[in-house]
Parts: sequence; structure tokens; C-alpha cells
Amino acid sequence: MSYHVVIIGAGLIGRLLALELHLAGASVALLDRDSKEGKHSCAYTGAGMLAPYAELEISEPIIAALGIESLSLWPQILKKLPQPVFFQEEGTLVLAHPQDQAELIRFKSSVQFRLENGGWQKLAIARSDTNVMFDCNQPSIIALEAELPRIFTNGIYLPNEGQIDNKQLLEALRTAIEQANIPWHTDIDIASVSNRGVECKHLRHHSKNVVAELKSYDFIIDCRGLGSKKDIAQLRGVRGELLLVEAPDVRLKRPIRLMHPRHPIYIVPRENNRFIIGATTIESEDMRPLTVQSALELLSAACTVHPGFAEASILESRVNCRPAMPNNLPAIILPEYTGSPKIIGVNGLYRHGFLIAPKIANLVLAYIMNKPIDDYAQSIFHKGDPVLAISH
Amino acid sequence: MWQLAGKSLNSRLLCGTALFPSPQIMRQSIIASRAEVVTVSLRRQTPSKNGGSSFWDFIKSLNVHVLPNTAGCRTSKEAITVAQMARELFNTNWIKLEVTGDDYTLQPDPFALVDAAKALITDGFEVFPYTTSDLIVAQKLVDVGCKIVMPWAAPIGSGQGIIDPRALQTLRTRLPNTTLIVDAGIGKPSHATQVMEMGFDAVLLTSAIALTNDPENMARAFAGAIESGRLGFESGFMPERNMASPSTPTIGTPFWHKEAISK
Ligand SMILES: Cc1cc2nc3c(=O)[nH]c(=O)nc-3n(C[C@H](O)[C@H](O)[C@H](O)COP(=O)(O)OP(=O)(O)OC[C@H]3O[C@@H](n4cnc5c(N)ncnc54)[C@H](O)[C@@H]3O)c2cc1C
Repeated sequence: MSYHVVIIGAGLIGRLLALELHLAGASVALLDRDSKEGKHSCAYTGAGMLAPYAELEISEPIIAALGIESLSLWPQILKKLPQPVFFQEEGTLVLAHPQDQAELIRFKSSVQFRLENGGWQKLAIARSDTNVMFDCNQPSIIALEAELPRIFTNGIYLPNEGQIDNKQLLEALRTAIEQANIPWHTDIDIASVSNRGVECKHLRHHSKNVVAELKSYDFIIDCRGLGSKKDIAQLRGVRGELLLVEAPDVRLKRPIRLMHPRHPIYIVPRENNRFIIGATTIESEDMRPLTVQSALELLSAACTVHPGFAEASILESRVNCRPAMPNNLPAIILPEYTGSPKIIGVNGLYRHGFLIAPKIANLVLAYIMNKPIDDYAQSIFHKGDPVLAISH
Repeated sequence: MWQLAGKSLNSRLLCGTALFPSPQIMRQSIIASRAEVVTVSLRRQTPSKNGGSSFWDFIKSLNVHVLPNTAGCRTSKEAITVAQMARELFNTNWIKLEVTGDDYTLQPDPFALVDAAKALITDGFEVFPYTTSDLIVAQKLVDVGCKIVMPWAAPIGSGQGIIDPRALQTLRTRLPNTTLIVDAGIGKPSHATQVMEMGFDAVLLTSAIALTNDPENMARAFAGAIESGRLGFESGFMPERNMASPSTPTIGTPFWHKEAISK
């Protein structure tokens, strides 16, 4: 591929696309308003669960299809990275307290319904012809997670799910991009990417290289997440808060989801006795730090899953707003829609960025290289979908 | 057509906006439900302030009346403050008053509820208080000036249906001039039909629509169920007949029937 592609936004999808396009032979440049650490990206906040089946509780089947394919793509991507990234496929355990058993029933029924009505079963079966969801009684729960309290008499185990360490991934992608000598301009705030061109705040402070970058390109890929709101009117932020704790007394092997009628939480193990406890889902674009109410909800629920969390140290609290389209599905916004023949938008990854990014990156590459696109994924390519048009 | 707090409405279904899988499914479901009033939680979906505007824009695009609620408040003072904020932000004097007495069941605190209702009515609000099916609490709410009372059928989000039909029937009979909207506890369309057949004015729903596999179709199902119940109530039901002891003399019964019986 002999294209020159400028990627605006070096968060999760921006970094991944930069590397993949480079490996496909394109000449690539990255721009971001943040530093290379990416502290303000949603990716820096995310829990990194890769849960295509559990997400079916509230997501459409296409998310599971994209997620199942991505799960098998991650190991190949990680092999290309110069640093190790914690990645595992130990499945997910879904639990509920005795008084909340109805939530477990509802979870199972939603997942089952979408598994059966998704029209993409072939994909799921291709990955594993075994069952994807098992009922657990107390002994099987203990067999999976020996330290869980005996109050959990019922649960659901989804064996074909995984997780990835978000910060290690961002760092490893950064090193790979640097080693590939891909130009990466930090502190560049791009106010707008539209058919009127690229609007850059305080451009005069920046090097001539950036100006040159923005003068000649074959494609611009807008990956600014919620930063694209000015250009994609339908985009909204969904606030999520989580905590990183260090709990020496807790040994859990895999992500645990605790169902609750109002405050469902998950606990995601990281290396070295660290755990992510998350996450709230609030229809607001408020970026203020974690609220006391949310902290109480998250932490008290976590303590009921494992009393050892009471002695944990809180290392970090993180907040960000997930970029979402009205249907909560990803969107690859084509030039016909962005209004410029050279601009592609990749957005709306919502709570599924890590789950689906590898497949999304492949689809964008396929589009640029004029390769065939899977039938099931056609619906995320937007040429001007009237379903998304909301009067403002 | 019926009147709710000075507005003419066709639909007797009021719909919540939380818990849907996506705003788009919420929108499609609300359209399918034909609801003309939707509830919005101030605490967590704040417009302009704290930047919750996208979701709010989405709700505005539905062109329905907005009934903000005080969900999450535990004292009357807190509820009054939230109601006042809601009036400014949503530009309406309607308020669904919720004062939680128990965090797990979200059972309302009737004492704080009546206090808050009284203060808010003095302040010019149209108060929609969420309460249990207790007659005395409902009566006190009416006494402090509520024209609308919203009793539960069962605890919120439980989907249990009508746990105490006699209490609901008593409310309807004893408060004939109050607008009574059943809020919470409905799980199935048939539950909604039942309360509408009892003569309740409307039904408010969220979980029973939003937390199902196909919210849009469930919304349609509830719209039909509520309309059926209301039409039934307005038409007047035929009296139940006791078929066990025949009330008509058997003199006129044809002989071949008599034979059949004697066989
Ligand atoms: C609490 C929480 C938990 C999550 N958990 C999970 C999970 O378990 N699994 C999962 O799959 N997903 C999860 N996610 C979602 C995931 O983090 C996102 O889907 C993903 O990060 C989105 O990727 P992105 O590249 O589109 O956006 P981002 O990662 O936000 O990157 C956008 C980039 O654009 C840059 N940018 C923005 N505006 C401008 C501008 N004006 N000029 C220049 N640059 C700009 C930003 O600096 C940033 O680097 C979670 C999210 C949150 C908030």
C-alpha cells in the first residue's frame, strides 16, 4: 500500500491502526493533543475485559461477532509488539447474591436470546463447538475461584472470554510505533475534521512537519473518540468510573461480574495482586473525578465478593466518558458521510474498544485497500444512515 | 383523551428512560409505546450542568412531556432541592417525588414523602408522589394538595404484579377524584390490564419494557394491554354470574334436557 495516512487521535484504535497500516506498507503519521502516555484517552481508563458473550446481556449480537474474531486476533497482534502485555483467556464468572437471583436469570435469558437470534452463530461455532455458557453450582464456583464466600450458590461461567492489560497495551503499542519510526506529533489539538478541512488550535506553535502532514495525505482517519463530538453530532459520552486496588489477601484468577438490580460491578484481576473494580455507567459527559456515591457502590459490592478487599489499598481512581453512538454500536464513518473524499471516522467504540478493536482495525484496512468486507459487518459502515440522523 | 395535570393526553402509559440497552432502542420503544410522558432522573442524567446534554437532547427529540424524578433522594430536604433544580433544568413544574426509605427495596419513606409533597405544592409544583398502596398515606398526600398519587403494585423493579389487589381497589374506591397512576411492580402486560380494569388512570413503566429481550415489541404489548384495560373499565363489565345454583326455574326446560340430566 503506497498511501499516506494521517491518524488523528492516538488512543486505542488510533495506535492500533497506525501500527497495522504501517505493517501493511502505508506511510503513517499520528497526531494527538495528549502526551504519548495517553492519560486522557478512554483506553487509559478501560478495564480491558474481552467478554463477547457476557456483553450480550446488553449489547447486540454484532458486538459478540466482532469480539469473537478479535479475541483470536489479539495474540497475533501481541506477537508483533516489543514488550509483553498481560493477556489471558480464563473466561468470566457471573455471580449474584441470593436475593438477586432474578438478575442471574435475566442475564442468562438475554445472552441466550441474542445467541439464538443473532444470525452469526456460524462464527461462534467456528471458534469453539463446545458450549459457551455453563450454569455453576457452589462446588463448581469454588473449583473456579477457591476463595469466594459460600453465599454464592449459583453462577454462570463463560469459558471463552479473556482480558488484556490496557496500560501495558498502550505502552507496548507506543514502543512499537516509535521503533517503526512513525512520526507522532503530541500536543496537537485538532478542533475539527470535516469537509472544511482540518482545524487545528494554535497551529503556529507547532513544527512545520505538522503543517506538511496536513497538506498532503490520501486519507485522514479521525480517531479522536469523544473529541470528535463537534463533527459527529450523534456522538455522546457515557461516564464510567473505576478503581485500581492492590489486594494482597485476594486471589482471583478471572474477571468476575456481580449482578445487581442497580449497581452491577466487575472485578478484573491484573498482575501482582492488583484488581480493577468497575464500573459505573452514567448517561452524562461529566468528567469530574470519581464521586463518593460511586466509590461506595463499587467498593461495598467488591467487599461482598471477597472480604479481602477491605484491606486493599486504593492505588488509583479513573474516570472517562465512553464515546458512543445512539445505537451503542461502533461506526466506521465513510467519506460519503464525512463529506470529504479523504476522511474516515472510526468511533463509537463505547464500552467495547478492547473487545472489538482488532477486527475494527482490519475492517478499516480492508476498506482502504478495497478488499471484501464481511457481510455481518456491513452495518457498521456508515454512508449516511438515516437511523442515526437525530434532529438537534 | 384524558387530562393529566392540565395536559390533554391520548396515551395512559408513562415510560421511564433508564435501563434501555441504548438510546436508540429507548427511542424506538417509547415511540412504539405511544407514551406522551417520560420520566428522567435528574441525579444521573443531568442536562447542561455536568455535561449530560447528549442524552437530554435525545429525550427532547422525542417531543414528549418530561416528568423529572427525585430518584436516589433519602430525605425530604434532599428531594426538595433536587425538585427545584429539576424545575430550572427541565423547565417544568412537574416532579415525580421519590423519597427512598429503604435502599434495597427502594420502598418509599411515607413520612418524608408527605413532608416534601407539602413543601413542593406550596412552592407551585405539580407533585406526582411515588408511594405504597397504603390508603392513609395516599389520603395524607391528597390532604396536602396532591391531585395525583402514584401507588406501587409491588416494589420497584420487582415485576411481581399486583401483590395486594384489595389495597389498590380500596385506593381507587376511596379516592375517586384523585388521578391514580400505578407506578412500579408491573412485570407483564396482563398486570397492566388488571390495574386499568380496576379503574386506575394510567401506568408508569420502565424495567418491564427496558429489561426484556425485545423492548420495542414489549412496549407495543403494553400499549395494547393498557388500552384494553381502560376500554374494558369504561365499558362497564358484565356482572359475574354464579353458575353453581341455577337462578331460573327449571319449569321451562325442554323435556329432552331433563332426560339428559336424569340419565
Ligand atoms: C470505565 C471504563 C471501562 C472500560 N472497560 C472496558 C472493557 O473492559 N473492555 C473494553 O473492551 N472496553 C472498555 N472500555 C471502553 C474503551 O476504553 C473504549 O472503547 C476505547 O478506549 C475507545 O477507543 P478510542 O481510540 O476510540 O478512544 P480513546 O481511547 O479515548 O482515544 C481517543 C484519542 O483521541 C485523542 N483526542 C481527543 N480529542 C482530540 C483532539 N481534539 N485533538 C487531538 N487528539 C484528540 C485523545 O487524546 C485520545 O488519545 C471502558 C471504558 C471506560 C471509560
